[in-house]
Amino acid sequence: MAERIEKDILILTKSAKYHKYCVAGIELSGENRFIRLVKGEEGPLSDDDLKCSEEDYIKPYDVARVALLKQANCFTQPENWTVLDGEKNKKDIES
Amino acid sequence: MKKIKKISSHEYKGKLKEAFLNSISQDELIFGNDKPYIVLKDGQQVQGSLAILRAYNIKIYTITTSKEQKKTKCDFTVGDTRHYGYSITEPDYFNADKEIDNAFLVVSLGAKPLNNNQYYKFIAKIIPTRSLVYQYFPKDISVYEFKKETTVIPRFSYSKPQGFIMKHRVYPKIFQWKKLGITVCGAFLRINKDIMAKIIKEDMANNLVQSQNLMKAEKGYIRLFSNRQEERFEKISDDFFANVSGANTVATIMQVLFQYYGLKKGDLRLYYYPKENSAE
Repeated sequence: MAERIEKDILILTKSAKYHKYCVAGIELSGENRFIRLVKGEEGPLSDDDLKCSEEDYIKPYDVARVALLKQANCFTQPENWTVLDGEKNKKDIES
Repeated sequence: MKKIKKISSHEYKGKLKEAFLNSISQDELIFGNDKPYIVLKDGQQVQGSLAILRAYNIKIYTITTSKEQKKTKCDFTVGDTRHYGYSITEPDYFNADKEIDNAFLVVSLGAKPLNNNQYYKFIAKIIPTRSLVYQYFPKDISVYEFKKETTVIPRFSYSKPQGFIMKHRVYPKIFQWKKLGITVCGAFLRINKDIMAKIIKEDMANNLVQSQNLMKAEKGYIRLFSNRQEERFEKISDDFFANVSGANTVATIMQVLFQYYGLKKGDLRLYYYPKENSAE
């Protein structure tokens, strides 16, 4: 089972990226580092990834508590963190 | 298990603005240059790919590419550096044609090169702001705007400085005249060392305060600049010392620098509480 990391983030961007979203903000714990939320190492997030309740989606200026899998390995975007993606992790484990 | 949830900002009450302001870049360049892209060698690591900038004179416009695609671009200024042709990826501004006086811009560097190892920068968020003054200084504050034609500078004795703005860059929370003077001199020195060297040379040869009839001290004309350590002078750099011993000498220094550096009206403003309002 993947380790669960949680970070509280002041969301600043939800910009267009390959018909999905580039979501980034500032970590509110520690040194207020920039953080970009990604699928895999650099992939954009979908509406589903940003759904926080039945009818609500995370948007800029929200403070979000996000479950993360790991710091991504992207040499051009060192702030990237991979969001926890339950379905993908399940497939990885089962394959 | 919820992957993402919204939490009340009350949990971080008072810390959000601080976190945001602490994250603003002090650099006029973005990821090392003033172009809308950077060139990286294969496998070259970057220091960062996100930045918040304090920009002004932001011009947003739409272009049509050779493939008949519409793209929204923007030009803007950070400090003294004008940046041109950055692509906007914030949906709120798609196809916009407008100008914004002041804004914070969140810039994101693309993960993949578009061509020839060119990694493009994108404006991922535009946060229009009120005038910089109200972001950093109390609303009841007094302001003195330096002007070229000024010959008599008001007296600032017993007033309390709060900071200054020089060419759209804010230097807030400076509550001592000496510290303000040192910061002002350092800021001008960074703009152009040659002009500063000329000022020092002229002041040492021919007292600038006297020759420009700016301010007469009780015991004669005072000198403001030196290339060596002297009584009442503070070190700005190895060969630059300034007389920042009091409110009025600091204000006079600001006037001299304003003139010699050819600043325009509105480029240099001093924020302070006058004597009667000074909080002890």
